[in-house]
Amino acid sequence: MSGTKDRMTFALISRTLMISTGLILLAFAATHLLNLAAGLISVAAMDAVHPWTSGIWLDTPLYYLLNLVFFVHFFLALRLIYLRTTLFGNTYDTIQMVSGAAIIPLMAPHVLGVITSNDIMPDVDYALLMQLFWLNAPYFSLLQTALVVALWAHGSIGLVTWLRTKTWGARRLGWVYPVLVLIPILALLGYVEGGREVMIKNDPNRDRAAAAASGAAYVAPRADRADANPRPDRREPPPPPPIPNFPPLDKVLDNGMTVLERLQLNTVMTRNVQWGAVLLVLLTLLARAVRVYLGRSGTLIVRYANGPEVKVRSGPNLLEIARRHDVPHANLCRGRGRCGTCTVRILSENMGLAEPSPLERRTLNRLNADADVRLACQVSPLAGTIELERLVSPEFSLRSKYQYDDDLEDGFLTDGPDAEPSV
Amino acid sequence: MRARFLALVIGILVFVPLAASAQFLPGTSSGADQTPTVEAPSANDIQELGRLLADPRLQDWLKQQVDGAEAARDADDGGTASGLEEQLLAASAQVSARFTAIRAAAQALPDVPQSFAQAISSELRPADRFRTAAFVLVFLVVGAALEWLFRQYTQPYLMRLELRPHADLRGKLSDAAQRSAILLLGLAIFAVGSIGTFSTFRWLPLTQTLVLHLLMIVLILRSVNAVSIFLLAPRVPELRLTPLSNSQSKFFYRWIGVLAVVGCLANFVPDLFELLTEPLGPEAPQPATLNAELIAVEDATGFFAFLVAAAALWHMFFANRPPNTRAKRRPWQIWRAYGFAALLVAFVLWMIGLRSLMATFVILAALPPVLRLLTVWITHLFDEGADVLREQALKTTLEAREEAREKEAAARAEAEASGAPIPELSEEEIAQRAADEQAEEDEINAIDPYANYRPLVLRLIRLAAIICAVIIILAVWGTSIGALSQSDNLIGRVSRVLIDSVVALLIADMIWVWARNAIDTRIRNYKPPEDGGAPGPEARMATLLPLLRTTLLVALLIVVGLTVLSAMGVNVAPLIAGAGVVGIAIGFGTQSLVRDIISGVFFLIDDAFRLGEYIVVDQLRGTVEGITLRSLQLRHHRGQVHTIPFGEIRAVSNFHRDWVIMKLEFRVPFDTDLQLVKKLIKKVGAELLANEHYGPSILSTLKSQGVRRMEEFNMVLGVKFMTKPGEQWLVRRDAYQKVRDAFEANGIHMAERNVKVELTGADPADLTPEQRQQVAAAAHQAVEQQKPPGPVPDEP
Repeated sequence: MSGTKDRMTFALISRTLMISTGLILLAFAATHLLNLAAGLISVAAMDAVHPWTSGIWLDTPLYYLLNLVFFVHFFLALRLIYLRTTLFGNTYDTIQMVSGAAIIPLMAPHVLGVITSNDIMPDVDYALLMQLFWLNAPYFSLLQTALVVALWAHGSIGLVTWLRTKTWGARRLGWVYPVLVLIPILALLGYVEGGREVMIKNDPNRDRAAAAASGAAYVAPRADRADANPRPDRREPPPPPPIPNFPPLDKVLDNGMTVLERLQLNTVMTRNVQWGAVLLVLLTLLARAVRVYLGRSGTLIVRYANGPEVKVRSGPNLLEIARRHDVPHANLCRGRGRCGTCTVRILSENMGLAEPSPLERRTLNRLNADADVRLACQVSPLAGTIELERLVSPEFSLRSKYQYDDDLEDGFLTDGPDAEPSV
Repeated sequence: MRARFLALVIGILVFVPLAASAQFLPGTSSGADQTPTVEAPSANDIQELGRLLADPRLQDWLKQQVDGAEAARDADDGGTASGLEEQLLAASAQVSARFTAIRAAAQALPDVPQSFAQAISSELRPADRFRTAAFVLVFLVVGAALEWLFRQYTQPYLMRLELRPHADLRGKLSDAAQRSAILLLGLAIFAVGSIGTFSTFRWLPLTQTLVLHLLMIVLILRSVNAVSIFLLAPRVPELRLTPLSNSQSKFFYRWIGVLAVVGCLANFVPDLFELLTEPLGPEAPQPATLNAELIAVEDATGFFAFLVAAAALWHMFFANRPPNTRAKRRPWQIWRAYGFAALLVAFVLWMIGLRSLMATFVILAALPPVLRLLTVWITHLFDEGADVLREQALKTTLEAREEAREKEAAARAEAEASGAPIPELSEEEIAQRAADEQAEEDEINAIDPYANYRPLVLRLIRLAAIICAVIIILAVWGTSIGALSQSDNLIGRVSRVLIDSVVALLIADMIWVWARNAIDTRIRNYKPPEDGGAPGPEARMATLLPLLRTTLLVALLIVVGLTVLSAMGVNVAPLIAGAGVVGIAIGFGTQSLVRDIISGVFFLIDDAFRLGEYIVVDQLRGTVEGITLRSLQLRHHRGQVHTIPFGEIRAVSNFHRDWVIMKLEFRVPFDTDLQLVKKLIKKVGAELLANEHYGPSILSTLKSQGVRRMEEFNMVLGVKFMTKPGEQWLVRRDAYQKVRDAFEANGIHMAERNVKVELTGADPADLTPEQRQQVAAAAHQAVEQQKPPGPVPDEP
């Protein structure tokens, strides 16, 4: 039993900052998406609810907080990528990493574009934005959809992973899930519906033509073509309408640039931001590869009590090794050292494990763990042989969590694996 | 076993997607093979309909239809008579046309990407392209999000299913099925969510078709994935139904995925190309270049599918090391050669454009490995289940043994503590015990709990596989069993006969295998009673089962024979009727025989007697020695054998059921001390009960019933006891002996018959010898008048 005083190290602060900034960003995304969901009613409704949804963040000083938080989150994430022991350990982590890396390239055109249009035109409303996104610059329709998917997947995984390590959070997950699913669905449908409204306004016959055409909607691929209906005529739709109130290109704006210059600046900035973000991620990955290469040590044999023996190249932590070799292993927080469900008892080892980091120490202290108990997600053994015992039943999860906390008070972790939580 | 399994799986892996793709692939020849299967209504029906619809206009129209239909039928009858030679000529013409087409396609192949791009840009304007992609993303995301939601709620249960230890086959199967059900339900939710969203959007007609194709592909691939997870369980060895290691099952899981994707692409890409490049309007002629390009796309994707299948085979047989032992390497090599040869033949058939033939060949070629594989697989499943059950049984036995040992040790310790002599086991006894234990374990290991189901399930599965193959082959040729057997030409008739006969045979075979197995197992498990022991209830089965088996075999043969005859068109009604008449004639003659047989069956069902029991039938008594179809044989205890036809038996008294009460009588003088007698009897009773041989058979030991009656010269003491049937004689013998000894020892003498002669007024001493003689004679006469006790009823 170690009584080391918890030290607030950078790792601990970073973990706390990561989740708090992430929560703020997710809250913003949620309100913004709810704003889009109003498109299910009408484009005008999107404007109407704006002050109460995304307006809270964008039209108030919170805007600056949001910017700050965004950069903190991004750079902390880069640090975490650098520290990763494996890149594609488990599905959720992989999705979170890839979607997170995709967010800035997907978002830059949107954010910078909105800033630019605000600079150029006096009042930018959703009717204009929808027209831009669906008619004038249709590639935005795809870009924005992809952005919503990536961003929401990234945030949801973070939120759920965090919530399920908290007793109060695990209790509420039952209704957090539907909310997490409902918000992006409504937002996407609202976005599509808003786009449809704009398109119909531009081309009143659009739906009628489509309906007439879909009388023979399903064109059977191999039916007898001779007597099948001919392909419906491809009606040339009207060209996209001009943008209302768009100033002449040579008009000089408040900041001294002409409209044309501003537009060019936007293009350059978007490209730079996109490539910059991609470059940063790539550099981080490269740095990580170098770190892993320098730290490589050889073959590691892991023996599980009541389980298989696996032979791996050392580097990944014990939890990742277990996951990759399908050894069932409890892990609620997916390797963030938070929950303490991946605890293992080290029965023997011959490579000399590093002392627990303050972050790990903190969780172990909270669990009242014995000296030979470690968190599998924080231990990356070097080459050698290690024998260990999983202390928490792998099926251990949300609903059993309550039981787990009771057990925790009884100090079951020192009693070995028999104290299996009942569900 | 494993290597063989591996070798077999690949066959299925490769051939099934190929066959599936071949079925859907359009062929220049497959169109000609297809015959319309919609039957024209008969003239009568149509006239009936016409009468009902009393509209003259409609009637006229219908009549025209009738004429047309009849004319068409006549033409059809004439058309089928084309000779073999003509067909061969046509086939060779087709093949040469196919080669020309391939040459043209090879020349057109370089232009394909350009046509593709052109077609796409002319069909979808750039703006539409982005919007369509956005729509696709939206509906996929909706489906995926709903499925994710479902998975979050089912995750704990799924996890428990995966981690729970699986005791027996049934539990494993049920958990694997539940897991798959959850996966499939998730897939269904994805489908509903995405299709629902899909249908709320307005699509351009062509886009709609394309997107729907895409959606279908996603659903098909995911279904294949779910099924392969069910069988292979690449991550969870506990739920794996196939005898594969982790890495092997991952190998197959991946290849199944790859082959499914390739199969879907081979179908989808030509469709897409045709759809995009189809000329506008019905009148527009199909340009020859486009047609060549289409064939080029089809052939290229088909070729690609073959390449991937070959790669799968190669990976299977060359990337994995062959088995070490020679006995195992041989089948491995044979299957390898078989797989590549079959693939090659399929490829050649496909190249020369005989698509239907190729599909048929692929299915037929896949059938032997599939059947072999199914056999291996089912056997493995049963073996695994049996092993688990055996392990459990062994565990219980070992536990019981351990417990007995502990008890023994405790008894020894107790004896040691109290200073009593410690019972030591001799070496022989120890060896004997070890041998017994080994025998017990061997017996457990020899038991196969699924012996009855194995052959049945194997046959069922094989039957299902063959039926599936037949249905698929027929579908490839554009017909179905129903249509085939209803057509009136020779092939139709032959197929009808074949189908009927084969189905009847297979079903009968299945029933027979099952029944024979069940009966044989029962008979094998029957242990005849040891000498003197009472036979158990199984003895009845030992009598009845062989009878049943023979009857069943005969009945099945007759039914199958009649079915085959009737399928061949022989009218079996007179046969049955004739058999009936003869049957009646014979029946009269054999009335009593039939009565014997029937009542015999009922006696056996009533369990009135079993082999080895002592019974009384009317006046005859004895041990049941044999039971035949017609009669019962009793062995009298003095050796005679009575044969009694069952029909003659009215009532049976069975001395062998549950318990027997025996009453004994002792005659003692009037002055006997009854209390003492009671005490003595009780003591004897206790002694009898303690006897090591028959003691356990005594249900209620000897006890006194007091004075039963008074007789002229003595009292009659009643005693009784109850034993298991058959044991009473031995107990009675000892009871008599011990009671007599006890009485002797305590001064109680059995009453003897005596005659008191009272001489009135005379002193016996004064009697002259003559008078004494007279008195003795009178007394003798008095005794003589009394009837001596009759003989004891006959007993064994």
